[in-house]
Amino acid sequence: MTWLALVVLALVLLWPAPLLLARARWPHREPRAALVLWQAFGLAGGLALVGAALAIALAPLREGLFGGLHTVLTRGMAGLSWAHAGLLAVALGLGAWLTGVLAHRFVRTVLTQRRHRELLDLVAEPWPVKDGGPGSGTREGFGGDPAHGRVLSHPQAVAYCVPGADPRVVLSSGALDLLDEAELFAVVAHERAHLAERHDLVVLAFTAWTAALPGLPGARKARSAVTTLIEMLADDRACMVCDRAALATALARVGSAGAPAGALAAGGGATVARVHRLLEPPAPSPLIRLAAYSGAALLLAVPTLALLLT
Amino acid sequence: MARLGELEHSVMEVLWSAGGPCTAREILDALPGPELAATTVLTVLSRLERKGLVGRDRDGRAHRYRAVAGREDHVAALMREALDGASDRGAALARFADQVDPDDAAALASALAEAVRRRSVP
Repeated sequence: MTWLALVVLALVLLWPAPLLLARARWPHREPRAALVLWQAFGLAGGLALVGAALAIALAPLREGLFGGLHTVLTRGMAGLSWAHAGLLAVALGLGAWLTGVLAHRFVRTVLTQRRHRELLDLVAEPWPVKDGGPGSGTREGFGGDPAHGRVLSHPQAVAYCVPGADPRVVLSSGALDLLDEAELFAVVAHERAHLAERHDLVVLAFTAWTAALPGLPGARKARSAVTTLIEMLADDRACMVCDRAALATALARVGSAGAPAGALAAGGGATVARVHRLLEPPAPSPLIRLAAYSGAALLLAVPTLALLLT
Repeated sequence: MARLGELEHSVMEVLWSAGGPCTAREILDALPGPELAATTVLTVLSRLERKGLVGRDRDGRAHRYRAVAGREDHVAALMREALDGASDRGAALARFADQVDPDDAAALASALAEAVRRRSVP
């Protein structure tokens, strides 16, 4: 009956659980714990889905998961009916599909980043360094590594980073004109937090998950929630070195600048939520944190143990 | 690698300011700093050609090189990528703030005014 538990777990993690977590209010109080829980949802969901199919397919052999797989590998599928053999193929195919899409997305993302970075290095100017004059110290590199800083000469205010082994932090000249020194420092602190914690890899996993299981509302909700959570994590980390209000005003200014309506305003809601969160920080909750981490550990342990012990 | 990157930057600068196709010799002469070997410039040019940044036309016995697009075009393309709300966003590039719609912008403006007021009162 292990397979039944795995099927139920997979269905819960693919459908209602992500919708509930996406609607919950507490993740904005404990973004790191919520992010871990989202990752546990994805990992445990995938494990349970593939594991359930494997367990059902190999059940006639009565040798458990690994024993069954070993038997199939060494002695072929003699002990399996056509239906079970078909399900085994589906399970293995699904596992290969999930890992394959992840690998494909990873390579594609790395190539996109490299191309963007190369072009950036050709057309962008290095970090402006203001030397001499009192009070110029903070502007020098805006607190970041000047070797990674680039300025794109464009009137629209934009700030972003290109993650990777050789990262870049990019500001447009429009952003330099729009923001004061404390705000620029806050923006760079935020981008450096992304780079330091490699948030791009977390988002990549969820982007791949969404691409691998298209049409699944849970995966889309997860990606959108995770994208917002890593922004809040970067905000929190930035606030350890920069002024909280400066980060909030920088966000509001850059978010409202230009504001071409339509498709580009897609993530605007998250920006608004972040500004309010910075202006009135919600109280962290150790209890919620503990519950989220325990839940994540349990979610990962159940399918793993179920698969190992059957 | 870093040195090649710098040379690519310098060669593109020459091509962008030249305003028309140049021979490798002309590029070599226009490059600032100590004179480089002709083969080095040709290597850099072929790298730029492979990246789709430089085009090459035959002109009698010589080749003439030109920038495929202006610097502004490349900047615009990078800005588009940075502002693009596509599904891969966040994985390839991490944008600081998403553009908010006009209603939210108005709401943010009042929140902003409040924040600025608070900042002026330490």
